[in-house]
Amino acid sequence: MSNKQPLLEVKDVKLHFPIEDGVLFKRQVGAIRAIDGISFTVREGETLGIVGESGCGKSTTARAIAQLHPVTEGNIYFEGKDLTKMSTKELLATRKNIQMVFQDPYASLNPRMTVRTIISEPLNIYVKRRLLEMSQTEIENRVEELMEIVGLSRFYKNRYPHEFSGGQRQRIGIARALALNPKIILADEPVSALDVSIQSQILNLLKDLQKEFGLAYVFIAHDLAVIEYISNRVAVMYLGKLVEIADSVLLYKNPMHPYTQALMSAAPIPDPQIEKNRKRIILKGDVPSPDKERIGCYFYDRCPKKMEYCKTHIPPMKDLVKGHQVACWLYGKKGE
Amino acid sequence: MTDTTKIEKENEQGLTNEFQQEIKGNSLTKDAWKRLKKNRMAVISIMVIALYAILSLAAPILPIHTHTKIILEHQNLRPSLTKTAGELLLEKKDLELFAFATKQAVTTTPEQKAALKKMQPNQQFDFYYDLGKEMGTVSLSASDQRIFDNLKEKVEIELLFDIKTLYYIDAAGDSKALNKLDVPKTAEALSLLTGTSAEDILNRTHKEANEQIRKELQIENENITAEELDLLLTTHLNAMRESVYNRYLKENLDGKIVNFAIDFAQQELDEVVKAGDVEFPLKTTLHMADYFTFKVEASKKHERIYIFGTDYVGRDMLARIIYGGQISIAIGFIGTITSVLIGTILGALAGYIGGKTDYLIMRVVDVLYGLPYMLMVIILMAVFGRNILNLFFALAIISWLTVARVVRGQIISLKNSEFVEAAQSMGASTWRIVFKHLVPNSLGVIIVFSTLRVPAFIMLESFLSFLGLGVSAPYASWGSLIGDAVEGMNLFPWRLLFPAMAMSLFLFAMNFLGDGLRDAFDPQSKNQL
Ligand SMILES: Nc1ncnc2c1ncn2[C@@H]1O[C@H](COP(=O)(O)OP(=O)(O)OP(=O)(O)O)[C@@H](O)[C@H]1O
Ligand SMILES: [Mg+2]
Repeated sequence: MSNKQPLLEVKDVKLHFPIEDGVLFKRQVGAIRAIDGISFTVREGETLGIVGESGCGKSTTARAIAQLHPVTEGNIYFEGKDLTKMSTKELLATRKNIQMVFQDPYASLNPRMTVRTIISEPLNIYVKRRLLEMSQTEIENRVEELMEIVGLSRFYKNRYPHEFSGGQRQRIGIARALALNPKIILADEPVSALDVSIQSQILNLLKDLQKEFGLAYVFIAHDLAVIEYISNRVAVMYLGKLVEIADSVLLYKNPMHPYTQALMSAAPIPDPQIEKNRKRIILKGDVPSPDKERIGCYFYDRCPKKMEYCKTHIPPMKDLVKGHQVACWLYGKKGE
Repeated sequence: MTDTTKIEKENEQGLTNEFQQEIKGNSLTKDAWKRLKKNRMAVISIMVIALYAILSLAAPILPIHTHTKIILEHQNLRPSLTKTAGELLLEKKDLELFAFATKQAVTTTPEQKAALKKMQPNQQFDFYYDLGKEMGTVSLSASDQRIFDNLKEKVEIELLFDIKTLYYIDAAGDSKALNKLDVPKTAEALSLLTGTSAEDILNRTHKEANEQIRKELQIENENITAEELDLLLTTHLNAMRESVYNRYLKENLDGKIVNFAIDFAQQELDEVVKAGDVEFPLKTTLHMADYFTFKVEASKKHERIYIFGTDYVGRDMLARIIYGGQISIAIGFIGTITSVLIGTILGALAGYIGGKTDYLIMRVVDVLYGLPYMLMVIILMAVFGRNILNLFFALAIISWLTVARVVRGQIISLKNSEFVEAAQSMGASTWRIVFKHLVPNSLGVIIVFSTLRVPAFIMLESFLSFLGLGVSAPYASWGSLIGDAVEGMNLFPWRLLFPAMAMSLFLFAMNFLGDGLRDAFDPQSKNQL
């Protein structure tokens, strides 16, 4: 953390999925703006939480970082090197440090592979591409070690995924992500599909692993409580744009963007006294479709505090307090 | 896979679980095998299929009567486990003669006439035969009796000779096997038997060989005028290599010598057999005209037992079915394997890569699909000539289409799964994702499809054989056997029954095996380990 250069830097990234038409000759008739210009950094060993409504582009952000979809615009730097401009070989070498954990522990493990094959797959791939030197015995030992690390008995290694519970499967997914000793793990709603009691186990496991291996996380979730628990900093996303990034404590104490405020007010608070007295902000309408190009604030249609100015001006991300950035015209218009 | 098994070996001593059970490494294939072994029907099917495979492979050394050793008199004999061909021949003759005699002797009532009209010829024979026996007054005429007795004698004494090795001892006293002699030497040897000069014999043989080649050409080019044929023959002969032409000559000459040897053996052994007290098969060495020595095996001609009966030229149905199975099974498997391989690879790549690749591959498939299936095979067979290899080839290149479509559909439905995304995020290559992740997850469909494909191929081949485009005599396939048998179905049901049964049993076994395999390759199936 003392290092000045951030581990991961996402800079003005846009990712548009083309909408195609035509039977024989495909032509682009529009685009789904899944991510429409976002920037943030992740430092070594920290957790950045990303929250937002369904369809706002959280998963797409993770995929863009993992280079599963090519970005339309912008750059993603990992340790100062631009992932979007790398050759396949370079990318593979770098990607060793960026691994993913997925939302659905049932769908993210190949049902025809044993746990051993699943966990050793990244190792085997890198050995095959000569980016890693390990003998088969070492790989075998590493698999057992990983299973112990995530809290699975090594005796299970010949079993198939369907023979495990959801929580156990997610542990397998985490073991797989850890196999190559990554520096950052992109966790796309890793606990959303799990039971609440299992959720906390997995969250604690992730925290322990972070302490032990100095991992950084990009942690995506719907659940504000989960995010608060695990994150050092939180980014709030709306319609492919970030609206607010702040240290977790600051954000939860003092949400500044109207969208964040609405989001916070919608989350239940486990204290009946407070819960009864607090005021809820109810947003009007649905999330608009992300297939239009916008000239004003992305939240304009639903914002309870909208102003005429917002309609035609896109608010930039501004540092308000140290460690608290907001993109909203309420906190100073242009030129003011 | 070998690497992992090695490690498993190394780890074995150390790895036991909390119940002191050994933990062995396993792979999907190993697990699948274990699960398959638990499926009784699948195991039986495997055994049945193995039996077929063994019979097909061992056909040349099995004690069956191949089509090269047919006895023409044994036409359309019914199957029998105990009766020899001779007994059946006599039985048949007796039935025929006696029924005919009855027909001459009695006048039928109108009701009987009406009933007879509805009957098949063989049923009419049976009817008259039974009627005659019932009356007890009918007997064979003297001439009929003579015919019967002649046949009886023939059955008893006729021999079949098998010339094993024939040596020629030339003037210098060197003895050489017949098949080692060159053409002039063979002609010389033959001249000693016929008394004509070697030169004459060679001239004659040349003529006969040309005639034979001309006939073959005529069969290949059906609609050809005589002049064109002559022209074709000249060019063909000019283009023919000498060694090939010599083979025609040699075959011709050898055949003549062997015929001499058979005649000779017949004369020599006739006496011995008539004297009685010989055990068959009779094996001796004979010397012919001082120049030839040969081993001969004589057996009674009509002593064979055909447990599956014979066909219209006296070929043993059992041998036909086994040899037919060879071809049918080969077509089924080779066709399936090639079509599934091509289809899976192309379908999987089209499905996974998508975009232009997909578009290109699938349009090719669509176009080929649009062309009539049968027509394609027929055209291919016409272009490349009618032989079994071309038949395989023709079937394979048109039948991957469906596999490609099915696999592509499967792959498309799987390619957005998270486990594929996970593999992508680990840097897995396209090849790895397709063949380690997607294809294994489509195995169920592929396997079921393949096992359905095998019967389909066998059927398709049958159909082609039926049209006269598949295998041609003397080769047979189950399909061609059934096709041939349909004609005389009422009279000779065994000719249809046995090949059909052999084929059905095989197809049943394939289907059960397919089911078993599909379950075995699915770790989530109910057949737990
Ligand atoms: N492969 C794709 N092709 C086209 N559009 C896509 C694709 N993937 C995502 N989208 C669109 O991009 C937008 C953002 O999707 P994304 O999956 O990132 O949402 P999310 O924030 O992860 O939602 P959730 O919380 O439900 O997982 C959605 O409108 C979605 O329809
Ligand atoms: Mg998502």
